[in-house]
Amino acid sequence: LDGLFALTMYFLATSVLVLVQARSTALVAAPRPSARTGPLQTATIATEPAVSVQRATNGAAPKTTTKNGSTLPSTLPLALQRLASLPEKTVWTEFGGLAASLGGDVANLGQGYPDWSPPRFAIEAAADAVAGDASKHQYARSAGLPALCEVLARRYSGHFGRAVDAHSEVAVTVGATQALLVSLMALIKDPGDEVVVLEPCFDLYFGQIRLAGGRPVAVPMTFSPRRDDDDDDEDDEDDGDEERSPLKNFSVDLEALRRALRTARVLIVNSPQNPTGKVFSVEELEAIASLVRSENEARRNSARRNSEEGQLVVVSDEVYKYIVLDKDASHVHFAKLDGMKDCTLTVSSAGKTFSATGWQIGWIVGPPHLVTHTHRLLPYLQFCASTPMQAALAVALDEAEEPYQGHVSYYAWLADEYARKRTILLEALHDANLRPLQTAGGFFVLADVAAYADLIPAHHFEPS
Amino acid sequence: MMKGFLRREGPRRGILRCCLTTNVEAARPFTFEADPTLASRPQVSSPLASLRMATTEPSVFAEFSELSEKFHSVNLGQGYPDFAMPDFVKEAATEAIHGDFNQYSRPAGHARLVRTLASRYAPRFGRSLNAAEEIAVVGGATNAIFSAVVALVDPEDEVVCVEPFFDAPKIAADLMGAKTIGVPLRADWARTSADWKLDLNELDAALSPRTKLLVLNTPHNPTGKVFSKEELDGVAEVVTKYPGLVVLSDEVYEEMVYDGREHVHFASRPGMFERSLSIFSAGKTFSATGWRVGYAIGPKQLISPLVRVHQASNFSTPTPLQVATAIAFERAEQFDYLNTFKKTLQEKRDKLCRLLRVAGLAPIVPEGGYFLLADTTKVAAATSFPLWEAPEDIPLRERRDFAVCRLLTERAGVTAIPASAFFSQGHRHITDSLARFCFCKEDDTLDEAYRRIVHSGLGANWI
Repeated sequence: LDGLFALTMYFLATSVLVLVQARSTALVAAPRPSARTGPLQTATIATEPAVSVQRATNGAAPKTTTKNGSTLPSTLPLALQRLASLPEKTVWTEFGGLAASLGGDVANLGQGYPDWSPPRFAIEAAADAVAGDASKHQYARSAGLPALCEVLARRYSGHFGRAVDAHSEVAVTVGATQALLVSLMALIKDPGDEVVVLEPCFDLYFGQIRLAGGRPVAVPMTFSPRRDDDDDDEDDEDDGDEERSPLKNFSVDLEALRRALRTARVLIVNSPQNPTGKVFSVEELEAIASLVRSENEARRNSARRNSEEGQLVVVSDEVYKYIVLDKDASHVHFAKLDGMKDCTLTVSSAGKTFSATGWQIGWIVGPPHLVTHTHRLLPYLQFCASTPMQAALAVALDEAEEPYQGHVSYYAWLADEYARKRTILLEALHDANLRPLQTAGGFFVLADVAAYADLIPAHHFEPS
Repeated sequence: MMKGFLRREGPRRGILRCCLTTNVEAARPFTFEADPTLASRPQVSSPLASLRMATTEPSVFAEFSELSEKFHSVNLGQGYPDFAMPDFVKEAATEAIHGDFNQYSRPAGHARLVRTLASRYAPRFGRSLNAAEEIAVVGGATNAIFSAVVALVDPEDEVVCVEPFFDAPKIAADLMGAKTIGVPLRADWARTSADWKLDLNELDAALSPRTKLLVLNTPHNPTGKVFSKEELDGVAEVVTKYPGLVVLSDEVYEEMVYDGREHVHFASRPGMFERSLSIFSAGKTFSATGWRVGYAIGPKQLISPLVRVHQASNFSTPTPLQVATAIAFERAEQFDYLNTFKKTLQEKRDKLCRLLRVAGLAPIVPEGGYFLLADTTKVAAATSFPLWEAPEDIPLRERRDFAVCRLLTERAGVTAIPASAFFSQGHRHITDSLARFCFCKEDDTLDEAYRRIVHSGLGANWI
C-alpha cells in the first residue's frame, strides 16, 4: 500500500509539474499572440505556417495534431482549429482556378452544377413569388414556410408510407449544405463524437463534422474493379464487348462498417453517391440498416446508456434522388427501411433536382424528437431560409409531377436527360481510353486513368 | 477608472430607475446568465455538442410571433415591414430570376454584388475596398453574426455586448462556449434615445485581455439610439487599449436615421477598420427581410475566417437574390429610394409616438432604426412584485414587462416585445416598464394598434 501511495503521489506530482511547466512556459515565453500583438497576428496564423509561433514558445505551445499529421498552435479560434485540418486550398479552388486560367478551350466537367437553366415552370414559380405580396418577402417561420413544409410533409408521407407531420417533422434550411450542418449540430452531443462516412465521399462532410465538434471516421468502400475469373456472379447481358463495359463500382465493406459503428454517434449515408455515382441497392441499404439496428439494440440493452441518448442516428443525404439513371435501379429512402424511422434524418434539396443550385433551399425530414433540436438551432444560425425561394419551391415541387416535354413528369424527364448525357460522356470516356466505373445515378462518373499513368510528366506529381 | 458611478436611491424618478452603487464588485458588469429554472425543465436535455445550448432561452421573437398568430393581434413585435417593398426592388428580383442566375455563386458572394457593395461602402469608410477579399455575403445579418462569432471566438474568450442587445451574438457565443458580458446603456430620464448613454469607464471595466469581441449596434435595437461620432470615438479610444479585440459593428439599420442625422460607421473611425467587422442587411435596407441576404465588410484577416466557416455551413447565398440586391443598390439612386424611405419611416415614427402618448404609453423617441421603447407604467399587469422591485434572478418570463406584453396581446390584441429579453441578468430591472414596438408598418396597422390599446382601456390604469 505504501508503494501504491508513493506511485499515486508520483503520478500526481508529475502531472502537476507538467501542467505547471506548460502553463509557465506559455506565460513566460509566449503570452498568447492575440494578447500582445493584436488581431492581425492571430488571424494571419490561419494562413501562414506556424513556425514563428512555435519558435517563440520554444516549441512548448500546446499543439493540435490534425488529420494530416501536421501540427498547429491551438491559438487559433476553436472553429478554425476544427477546420484547419482541411487544406487551405481545396481541390475546387485549385482546379476551378486552373480551368479559368486556361480560358475558353477547357470544358470544365469538375464542379457539380448544370450549365443550363432550371425548367420554365420553376422559373415562373420564382418570378411569381418575387412579384407576390409583402409576406413573401419578409421573415418566414423559422422552421420553414408553412406552405413548403406542408408540401414536403405530403410528399414524404408518400415516400415513407406513413404520415409525416409538417410542423414537427420537417425543417427547411439554406440548401442541403446547411441541412447537413444543422443535423450534425443537433446530433453531436459531446465534442469528439464519432461520425462515420463511407469513402470516397463529398469532402464537405469532413469540414462540417469538425465544425459541429465531431470526429469524422472514414470507412473506405472496397474497390475491385475487374471481375475475378472464379467469380460466380451473373455477367451483364452485354458482356460481348468486354473492353467497353464499365468497371465495377465501389462496394460497402460491411465488416469494417460494423466495427466503426460500435463507437459512432452518426452515420452518413449518401445515395445516389457523390462522387462514385453508385445507387445503393435495397439489399445493400438493408444490410446497413440491420447493422444500425443491431448496434442500437445492443446499446439499449447495455446498462450504461439510456434509450435516447446513446442511439446511433443515420443522416441520409439524398440530394441526387431524382437522378437515378439505370432502369433497374431505384432510389430507396433509408428512413423507410425497417426500424429506421426513428433514427434517421433525411436530407435533400431543390438545387440538384431543379438545376437551380443557386436557390439554396434544403430540408430535413425526421422524427420529432430529433427535428425539434434543429428547430431550436435555426433561429440563431439563420433565422429562416429565403422566403421567396421557399414559396417558389412549394409550387414547383408539385408542378414537377405534371407531364413535361413528352414525359409523364418533370422528374421522369430529368432522369432521361441525365441518362442521355451520361451515354454521351461514357462514349467519350471510352474513346479516350478512360475506363469509367459503372454508375447508376447522380451526375458524376469516376473514370480510371490507368492508361495514362505512364504518360503524365513527372512535375505534375509534385505538390503545387 | 471606477469614477463616474453615482448612488441614486430614494423615491422613484422619471421613467427609469437606476440602481448604481459605488461598490466596485457590484459595479462590475454582470455576466449573462440564463433563466435559472431552465436546467430543471424536462425538454432541456439537448444532444447538441456544446450542451451549452441547453442554457440558452428559446427565442423570444418566435414565442411572441406564435402568440400573435394565436390571438390574431396586430404584430408590432418582430421587426419586419408589413408594407410592400418598393416596385423597383421587385423588378430587380424578377429580372434576376429571368436572367438565369440560378447556379451556385462564389462562397464569399456573387461578383457583381461584391463589386457594387465595394463601391457603395468605400466612400463611407473613407478608404478603398477590395471587393474580392474584404466583403463576405452571407445568409442575412443573423447568419453573418453567427459565422463571425464561430470563426473568431474560443471557449476561453469573452464577448462583450452593449446591452440592450439583439440576441444573435450572445447565442453564437453560447454555442462556442464563450462567456458573454453585458455593458448596459443607462438613462436616468429618457425622452429620446439620445438620453441612453454608454459609460466608457464601465465599458473599460468590462474589457480585458481575454475579450475577443465587442459587439456594437448602431442604430441601436431596441432603443433606437444613433451613436454619434464623438461617442464612437470614445469607444475607439477604449478599444485601442486592447490589441487583441475585434469589434463587431452591427449596422443593419444604417439607412434608418432621422431628424437629419448621419449614420456613422464605426469602421470609418481612425484605426478601426483593421479591427472591425461591419455587418449590414439587404433585407432591412430594401424591406425584404425574407431574402436573407446580408454582408460583412472588414479586413481580409477577419473576412477570410468568416468565409471559411460560411463555406462549411451554408456554402453560399441564393444567387438570384444576390443579383437582385446588386441591381437594387445600383438603381436606388435613380429612384431616390433611400431618402424617401428615411422620410417615410420618420413619419411613421412620429405617428406611433403620438398615438402611444394618447393611449397612455410614453414612448422614448428613437433617433434611428425600426423600433421604439415605450413606458408601460400605466398598464396594470398582475405580477408577483411591484414595479421595479422584482429580484434580478426571477425567470425572465415572470418579469413584469413579459406579463405586460402578454396582456397587451391577449386583451388588447397588440403584440410588442418585452425589453428585458434584451438585457442580461443583473440589468433587467432597467426595463421592467419598457416594451419594444416596431413602427415599420402600414399607417393603417399603426392606427389599428392605437384603436385597440385605447379600446382595451389598458393604457389608462394607474398602479
